[in-house]
Amino acid sequence: MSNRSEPLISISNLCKDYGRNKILKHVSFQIESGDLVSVIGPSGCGKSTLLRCLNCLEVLDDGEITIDGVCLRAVDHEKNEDLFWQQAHELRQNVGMVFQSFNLFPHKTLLDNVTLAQIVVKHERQEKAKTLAMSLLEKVGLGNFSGRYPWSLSGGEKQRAAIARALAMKPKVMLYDEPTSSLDPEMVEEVLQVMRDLDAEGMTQIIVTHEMRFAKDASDYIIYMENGEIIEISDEDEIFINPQDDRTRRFLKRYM
Amino acid sequence: MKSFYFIILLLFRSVLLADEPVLRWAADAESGAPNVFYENGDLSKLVGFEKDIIEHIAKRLGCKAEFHQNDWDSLISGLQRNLYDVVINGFSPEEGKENSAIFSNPYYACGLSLIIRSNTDSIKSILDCSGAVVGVLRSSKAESILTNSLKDIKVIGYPNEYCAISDLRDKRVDAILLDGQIATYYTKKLSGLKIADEFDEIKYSVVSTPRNSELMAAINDIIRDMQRDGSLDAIVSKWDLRNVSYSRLCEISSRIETPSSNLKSPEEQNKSTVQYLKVLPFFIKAACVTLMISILSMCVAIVLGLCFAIMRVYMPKWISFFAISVIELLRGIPLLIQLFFVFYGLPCIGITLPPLVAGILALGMNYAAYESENFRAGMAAVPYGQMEAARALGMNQWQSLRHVILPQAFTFVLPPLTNDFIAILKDSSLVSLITIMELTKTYMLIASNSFNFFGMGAIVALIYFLIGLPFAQLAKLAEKHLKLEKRAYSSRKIGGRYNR
Repeated sequence: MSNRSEPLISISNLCKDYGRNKILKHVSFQIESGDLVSVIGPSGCGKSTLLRCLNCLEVLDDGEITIDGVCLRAVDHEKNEDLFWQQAHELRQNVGMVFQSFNLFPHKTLLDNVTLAQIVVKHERQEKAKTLAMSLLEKVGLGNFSGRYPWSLSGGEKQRAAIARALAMKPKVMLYDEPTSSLDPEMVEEVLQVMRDLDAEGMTQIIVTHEMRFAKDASDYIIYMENGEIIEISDEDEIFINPQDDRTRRFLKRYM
Repeated sequence: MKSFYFIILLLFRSVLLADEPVLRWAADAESGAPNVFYENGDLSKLVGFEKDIIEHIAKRLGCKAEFHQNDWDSLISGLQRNLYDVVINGFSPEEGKENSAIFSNPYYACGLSLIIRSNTDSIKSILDCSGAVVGVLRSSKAESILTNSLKDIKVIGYPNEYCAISDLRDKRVDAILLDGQIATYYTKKLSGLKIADEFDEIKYSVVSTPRNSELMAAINDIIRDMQRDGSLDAIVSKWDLRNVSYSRLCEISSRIETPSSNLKSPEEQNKSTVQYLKVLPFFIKAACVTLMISILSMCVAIVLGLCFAIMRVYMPKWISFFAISVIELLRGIPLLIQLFFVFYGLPCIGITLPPLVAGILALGMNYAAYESENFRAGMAAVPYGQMEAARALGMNQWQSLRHVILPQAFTFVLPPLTNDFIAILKDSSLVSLITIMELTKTYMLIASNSFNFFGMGAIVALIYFLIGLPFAQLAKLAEKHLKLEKRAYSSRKIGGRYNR
């Protein structure tokens, strides 16, 4: 863990339920700028929901989320919905999201995929947006693909394009929801490499993943979740070598 | 584009000619011989004894006569709608429309004639018809007489004379009962028919609304003068339409002349290709009207439909409920009723729309209900992840819809949209009922006046087909251009020739 005092992301007492089914139970943690954090845990443990709450794709039921000074409170959603969504909009400006199924816009070329939000949301000039988009596409190794449509790409290429698209909004935090789960094994590495590069540049990243090796090698630390609770937050080596909790040990045993 | 200028010209004409007084008169020229009809289906040659009479009246009033076509059933409604000033089309005061219309002094009288095939011997008078099938014109006096007093006759109502007469020739009915002058005209013009019986007496009057009572007083004077100075008789004689009832009306000695058939038999004329070439310009003009109405209504339908779909899916509950109600209402009510409601109904609450606008609006609204469901299906077909990705990038709901969801939804909606365009092309024929001369109406007028339903039918069918065809092709091109995935368009080849 880094020693900087001001956390970039701070989550306290986050709760989320679907009807009677409690998905997240009083989750609290903090992440500092520049960290790469992996969230692991069995299916249905709430790790994806946690990530989606951070980007307001799910509305939190209780607690609060602060990202780079923008604070989103569950009470606001009940009492002052306009304020809540205003905050949510502001919060999203700092957060980039990458999905398991890429969700690239199929009716647009890669270049347009990357420039669209810049032009629509940030009202950037066309040329400026294009320049940034090209540099980002080159960064993820898709410089020659800018005119191609998503259907003509492989899974790994699609996911790298999706990362470029999220980066174009200049987020302070990148969220990845199982970014490699729907990829062929030989394509996983190219996506992970992009994330490693971003880490080297100091990007704050949260990754929900089943890639244990990547989690172990690249993460600054790892959050283990089960049944909507955080069981263990720990250094990447420690959790794999010497898990503190029995549940963590049992889960990791199946993978390692 | 040409049709646009044509319409604009129409709209401005009334303004430009405002200082010259115009007598707007209406009749149904569909199969209207000898009253008001187009000679041999040539739409530039409106003729008929009633046309001569009304033009004579107009001349004496010092105005220019302006003809308005409307269906016989709707002629009186059009008067109330103030589409025209008077109707002259074989209306007799007895027909129970006194409360909404005023009738002039009669200008013509005739009996009812029973027409049979020449080779029928069993029917000598209407009394021989018990058990037989007799054709009449819908809502004519003949119909009310037969249905009220002669109960054992099976009566069939026809929309126009020609249908009745061709059914008689095709032996679908045993006899038909028509106004005397119509019967005379057709028995002279078509072979194989004869008049078996003549009875009763009907008088024809010019019809107008109480609003125009001053005009009607003037017309009454003119008709009286015309009877006195023989100009009315000249017109009636010219059309060879004198009979006992008419003579009694005019108090002149009955002197029924032997018919002088100076007209060529229509069947002979039919076959000349010259006739087809002559009607072609009318068909093309009408096709332009049909095309323009269809395109404009479809634009209305797409815009409204899209609004309804967005309201239904993405708006707060009460707006969504409103949209659902409107959609259900619009698609649950027959188009024809909506059309009449917009055109004849809305003026009652002070909204008077010109026929073209009313037609486009009614068609457009009706189809908007269908298009909104198409769009809803299209939006539902876009994966939910697309919306999430757009929102995660910071777009608001409207931006996500505009830039991400709708462009994709449109590719799904294109095939049913093309479908509906072709449907609207055909449904646009309904606007002929609110006095618009579009393709179907033009066909009916030409065919019924030239006695050629077959040849003209083939032409009109071909025109409809040819209009629709390029749009289907256009849609195909657009689909190719908008494709989201190559896969989606080659998927039908899965399994190749082993596919069953």
